[in-house]
Order: sequence, then C-alpha cells, then structure tokens
Amino acid sequence: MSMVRLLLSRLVKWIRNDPGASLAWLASLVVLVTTAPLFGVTMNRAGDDLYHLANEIQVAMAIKRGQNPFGPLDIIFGTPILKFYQPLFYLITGSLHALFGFNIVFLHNALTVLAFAASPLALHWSYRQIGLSSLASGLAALLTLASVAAFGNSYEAYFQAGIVTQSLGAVFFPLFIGAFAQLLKGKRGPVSTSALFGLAFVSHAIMAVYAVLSGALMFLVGDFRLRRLFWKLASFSILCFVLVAFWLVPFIQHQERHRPVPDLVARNGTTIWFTGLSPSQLDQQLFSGRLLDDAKVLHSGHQGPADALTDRLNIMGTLTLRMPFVTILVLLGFFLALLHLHDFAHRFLVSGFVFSLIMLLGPDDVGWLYWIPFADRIQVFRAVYLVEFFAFGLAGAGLKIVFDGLRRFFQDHEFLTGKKKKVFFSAAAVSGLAFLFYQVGKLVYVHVDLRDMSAYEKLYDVAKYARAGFPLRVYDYYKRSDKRRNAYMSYKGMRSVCGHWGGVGPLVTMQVCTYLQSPLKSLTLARHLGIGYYLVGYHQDKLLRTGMKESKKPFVRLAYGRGHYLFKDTRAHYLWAASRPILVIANNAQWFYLNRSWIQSMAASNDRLQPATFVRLPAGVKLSPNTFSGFEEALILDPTRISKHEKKLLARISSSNEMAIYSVTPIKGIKTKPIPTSRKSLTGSSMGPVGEQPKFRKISARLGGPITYEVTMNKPGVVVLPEIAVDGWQSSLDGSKTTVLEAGPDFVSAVVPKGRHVLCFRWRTPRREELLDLLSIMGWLGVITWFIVKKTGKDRA
Amino acid sequence: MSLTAKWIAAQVRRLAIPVLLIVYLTLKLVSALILGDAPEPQSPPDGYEVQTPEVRMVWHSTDWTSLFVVKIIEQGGDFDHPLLEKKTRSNSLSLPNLDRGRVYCWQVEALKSGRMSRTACFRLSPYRIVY
Repeated sequence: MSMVRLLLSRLVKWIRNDPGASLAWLASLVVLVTTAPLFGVTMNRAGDDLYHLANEIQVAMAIKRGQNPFGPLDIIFGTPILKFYQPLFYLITGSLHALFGFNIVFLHNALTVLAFAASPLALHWSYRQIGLSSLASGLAALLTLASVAAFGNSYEAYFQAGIVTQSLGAVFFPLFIGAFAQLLKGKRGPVSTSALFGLAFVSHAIMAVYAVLSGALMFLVGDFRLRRLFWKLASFSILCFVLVAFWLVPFIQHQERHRPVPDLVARNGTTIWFTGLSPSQLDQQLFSGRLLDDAKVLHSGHQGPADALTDRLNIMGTLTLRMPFVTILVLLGFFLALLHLHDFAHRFLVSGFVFSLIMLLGPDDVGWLYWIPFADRIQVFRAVYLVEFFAFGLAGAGLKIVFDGLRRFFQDHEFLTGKKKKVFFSAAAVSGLAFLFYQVGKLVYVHVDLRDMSAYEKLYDVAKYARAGFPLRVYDYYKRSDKRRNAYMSYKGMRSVCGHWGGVGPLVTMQVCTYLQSPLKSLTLARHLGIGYYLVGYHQDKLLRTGMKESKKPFVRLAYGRGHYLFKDTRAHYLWAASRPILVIANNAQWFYLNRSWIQSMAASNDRLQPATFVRLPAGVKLSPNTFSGFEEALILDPTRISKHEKKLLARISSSNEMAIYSVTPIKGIKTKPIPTSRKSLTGSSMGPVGEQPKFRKISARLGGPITYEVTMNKPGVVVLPEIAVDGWQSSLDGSKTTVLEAGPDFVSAVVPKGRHVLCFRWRTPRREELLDLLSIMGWLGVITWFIVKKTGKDRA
Repeated sequence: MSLTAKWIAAQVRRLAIPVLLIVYLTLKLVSALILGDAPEPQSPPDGYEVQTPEVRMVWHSTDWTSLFVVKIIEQGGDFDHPLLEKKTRSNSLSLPNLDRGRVYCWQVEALKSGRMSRTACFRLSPYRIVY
C-alpha cells in the first residue's frame, strides 16, 4: 500500500512540476484501457503480430533447451532469429517465458500493450529534453493517439500490420533522442545515453538507422562545440558499439548475403515500398492530408489512384476516415516553427520533418541519399515513423503557439474573461479529447479479433504433422490464407520454409515459394533439394498476383533506381541447365543471378525439369584438392580471387582431365571450356539423369543438435540439408571434417562419394560472433554495474 | 574576429542545415507541382541484362491520363531516327523481336505534359535458357 502511495505521490509531484505530462499520462491510460482485451493468452490476428509470436516461441524453446538462441534455430529470410530486425522483443519475451514459465502469448500481448502505453510518455519526455515546453510536449504526446496512416506507432499500425516490435522501438527511440539532447547539452553522461541507444538500436533495425540519423542531425543543427564534447562523444560511440556489437556485425553481414528482398523487387517489380514517392506524389499525399491522416476508402474496390497509393505506401488499407486535422496541425506547427528557428527545439523538429519527407522520396529521386548508409535499403513505409516523430512534435509546438496567441488575444481584448475563458478552453480540450478517444475506440472495435487457442487444437490435427518427422516441415497445400494457423503451427514447433512475406532473401526468392504452390513442381524441387516436407502458405502466390495487377497501375516507381546495391556488383547472368552437381565458384552477386535464372527456368519448364544442382563455394574461400572431390564439372564465375597457388592446383586438375572447368573468361594457365549455351552442346556430355536416388537412414536429427544420417550413394553426389547456409555450419563424413557448400539456391550441403557413409551436419556459433557476444555481454554487465553503483551512491548521499 | 562576424558565423552554423534542407525540399515539391514528373523508366532497369526474348518495358508516370510515345534505339543511335516508335496509353510496352546480344536504349515522352524521361539502356542476353 505504501508503495502505491509512494508511486502516486511521485506521479503527482511529476505532474505538478510538468503539467503537460498529465496529457501524456492520459494518452497512456487510454491505451491501457482500450487494449485491455489483449491482456490474455489468446492470439490476436493483428498482421505480423503472429509471425513475431512464432519467432518468440522459437527463441523460448532454444533457451529452455539450453541452446544458443543466437543460432539458426529458425530461419527468417536466411537470418538466424536474433539477427533479424528486432532481437530485443524476442529476447525479452523468450527469456521471461523460459525463466519464469509465463505463458508466452500473454507475455507477448502484455509487452505490446505496455510498449504502446509507454510510448506517449517517452515522447513527452523526449520533446521536453529537446526543449519544447511542457504543454507543447504533452499535446504532442496526446496526439500520438491519432492513427497516422497505417504505419508508425499507432493503433492502426499494430492492429493492421502487427507492428509489435517497432512499438518497443517507439519507446526507446524517443528516450534516446531526449538523452542524446541532454548529452549534447552537457547534462548527461555517455553511459546512460549509450544504454538507451543500445536499447533503441536492438529494438528494431529501423530504429537503429533512425537513431543514428536523428542523432547526427541533432548534432548538425545544434550549436554544440565538438571540441568540448569530443571525449564524451568518443566514449559514447565506443560504448554504443560495444553494446550492440553482438547484433550489428552479423546483422550487416546477413543483410549483404540474405537480405529479405521480395522477388518483385529483385526482379525490379512493382512495389512502391522500396522506391518511395515521386515529388508529385509527395505533394499530393502530404497536402491532400493522406500522408498524415488517412486514405478515403478502404478495400471497396473503388479507390481513386491517390487513395490507393496511400494504402500501398502504408502496406495496407486503413479503416478510418477523418478530416485531415493532423495534417493541418502539423503544417501549422511547421510554418510557425519557421518563425522560431533560432530555438534549437524548433530547428531540430523542422529539419527532422523535412529530412524524413526527403527519405520518403527515396534515393531514386534524391541522389545524395545514396551517400547515407542504408538509405537505399529502408522500406519507405518505415520512414513514416520518423515523419510522425517530428510531425507530432511540430503539431504540439504549433498548438502551443496557437493557445498562447489565443490567450494573449483574449487578455488584450478582454474577450471571454474569467469563467467564460475557462469554459471555452475546457470545451475545446474536451471535444479534442473526445475526438481522439472516438478514433481509438473505433480502431479497437474494428480490429481486435481474438480467438481461443483451443479452437486451433480442434481445427488442426497437429499430431499428424508432428509424425511427419525431420525436418519439421509439413507439406500441406491449402487454399485459404490464415496467419493464425501459421503462428499456431510454429507454436507447435513447425515452421514454414518460405516464412513470412513469401520472400526468403535474394537467393531463395519468392519464386521458390510460389513454385512450391504447385504440387507437381514442388515435388520435383523437393526431390531435387532433398526436402521432405513443407508447410506452405497461400499468400505468396496472392502477393505475386497482386503485384502483377499493380504493374498496370500508374503509381509505380523504379525499384531502388539506379545504383542500388543489388545491381552494383557484376551483372552478368550465367545460364545453365543439367542434371548433375556442379561446383560453382562465384561471388554473392553472381550466385544471386545464377540462382534466379535457375529458379526462373524451373518455373517455366514444368515437369520437363532436369535442373543442375549448383553447389557454391564462395569466391575467396581457399581451394584444396579435397574441394573438388566428387565433382566432374566446375564453373568458375569469379576468377579474380583465386591465388597463384590455387591456379596451379586448377591447372593440374584441368590438364589431367579429372574435372571439366568452365569459365566465362579464359584463365591463364588453366584449360577452361566455354559455357555451353544451347541444348545441343550439352547432349552427349556426361550430363544425364541423376539415376537411382540415394538412400538415407536417420541416426540423429534434432533441432539445434547434430543431424546425422547414414547415406548410401550409388555414385558421388551432393547431399542437401534444407537449412539456409549461414555461417557456422560444419559437416563431417565418416568422422572426418568436410567442406560445407551452398546448394541451390543457398541450402547447406556436402559432397558425398559413392558408397555407404555417415554424414553429420552441426551448427556452431562462429568464433567471431562468440567474441562479439562476449563483448556485448561484458558491456551490458558494465552498464548495469554502473547504474547500481550510481544508485547506491545516490541513496547513501 | 569581431562580435558581429562571430554572431554571423554562429547563425550560419545553426541555420545552414535546416535552411538547405527546407530549400531543397521546397524546390523539389514546387517544381513537381508546376512541371509534373517526367515519366520514369522502371523496367528493365538501366544497365540491366534481359534474359527473356520478349522485353517488357515499364515506366512510371503520375500523369496516367496521358498518351505516351516510346522510342527505342540501338546504343549509340539517334533518338531522332529511332528503330521503333510506338504510342500507347498504357504504362508498359512489350517487344518480342529484338536481337540478342545487343544493347538498346529507350525513352518515353508524356505527350500531355511534353516531359521526356531519362534514357535507360538494357542488353538482351546472348545466352538462352536451356532446358
């Protein structure tokens, strides 16, 4: 009881010192009340929410089993789970579940609600630290209740798109911005600021980018002396790196190799998410009120092009219809702030707002954005969050200026004095609040759709799938798209090969997933890749079809524009078709194009398919005689990173006719053959049907543990493990270490000679990542110790 | 340095970035408002190699009511004497009979606004997909 009294007295003290905070608390309370139905153990249907839940379950399972949760327990776009966009949310819920046994669905829902509820408070604090007044900050925080389009940190973002993990970022990002402003003003030290930066950074990848960009912008527009701040900023930067190193370095590496690029984009398709608005479109979206408010019609099929564009920009349709009051407030705030540019807060908000709008234009319209790291990789809809952060600040500042002006006007003209003035302002405040509550209530009413977990037990015979054995993939072709079903299957330890959004990286493109929609093709592919079972969703195909339709619409922009990183590397296409394993020495870009061509040819050729198994050795990896054992052909696409010593080895192999070496360009000293480009040149070569299938007998196979099979091969061949070939996979054959290769497109594989052998695959955290993990753990322990020592010292004082 | 010069230097340091950003965006938005967007070649991307024998050229334009003129030349050619010139109301055009191994460049003009797109080039791959 005394604890509650203490908390209440602190709250009252806070509000007395900072009256605007009452508005932020009010917003927070509204969030808690309206999302109360979520405080349970039922799964909501909100967009990606379920997908994140499935990931959290995987992390919790790993922690429970004592396995490394940083490993590839589940593969999301070819990325180990904690190196995906949002490790913090997963880590919190997964750890709490594993340590205390709380229901993970409850933890997931509770953390979501708490993050949303804390967001207005964090924003209020942030705006205060930047330098906005108490009332302006409170108004800005309250305004966050208004759903801005379908993205950003709004109810609609959560209920429509399941922006769960970003909601955690929406707490830590403003907190970091506020703390960084304090650091630059000399009011805060580097330790707590870097801790907040670290939390914002790992809460969501996009928050990492925004934290860096906004921090840099704040420094540039402020009147801060670098010389005075140098040591503080240097220690802040070093500490920041230490705290986020465990995620940052592997994440960037995975982005390079396995970035989730929907195939539509990889093929320069028609999605606007990666290209941004054109200047005309931004004019239209911003000034018509669609950007900061909503599109006019939802899913009625009768949307005009401008409204359809809003919904495409925001991933999906919105459900509310309102006057563009947020737009009006923001633009009012913007123009009024222009008159106050001498003030740091206004200067920062104006610059940030303009910069975030420029981000919406994307690098295809604004060439210099290519100079900003990762600017060409940010999905445009995510920039809406940054727009919101600055827009709400401007709206709050603008409202405050209007209030002050009205108050002065009333005073000067002795208009509405005394009680009347109070009534006027109270009525205005109440109607504004009522409008916001109406908006929120409407959204919750429309969106919340809870279903009891037991319903799934009845609907789906999980045991049937569990009996399917390793790998835990179930081939189950169904017509209806049901995200809850996918999440439920994950909850039961099953996962989808194609994962969410259909695309699994530039190599395993959406086309593979689409390919799997056809039972005939999927069987061929499955046999080819050695995958036993799939759990396949329907939505990938739907996405593709929608994409095709969209290509006829006018609002279509060049994907990434010129100079996108996907197209910066060697552009050549190498086309091949055969039916035997072929060793390919290629760089990432070449491998990407090779597989794309391969997949496209598979998709086009129906049951006549006899594809080659391309097995890749990344260019630059050291070659040895063992590398080539089991292969009759090798294709060298990138000879630039072959050393002199390795060239000698290749020269010996090619001259002794042990192996045919194909190359695009002649390599000095090596007998190479040109790449066959027609059916005729392949006829009569050694390329024929694979022959009798190899036999596999499982010895041990468990998720996260060694996967051991007894393999009987009728001839040398490649054995494919249907896991994405991220760093860390090791293999052994009859107890001796063998090279792990990537087999079409990027699955783990190893060459096995003729006869009966014991083949074992195992994943271990790469040494470099272990060191980074250790560095970050030490960093966080240091930060926690620092806080405890500081707190103890304060209490003593 | 005099106090005035110091004050000016401080103001420039403070305001340079915000002013540059505001001016840049304003120019972009106002020019787009007045002139409209030129059509933007979208696919195949500039410098891309096309595998399929049929090339589908797609462009973006905010002016979706316009009639478009698409001009194609072989690399090094002259757009005044194009290999092919076609009018369409759609935002795409498919060409089935281009020669493999050659580089083609194309432009689109929106007749309504008179705005011409930038030039985009693609190479038709000499390799065929073998099944």
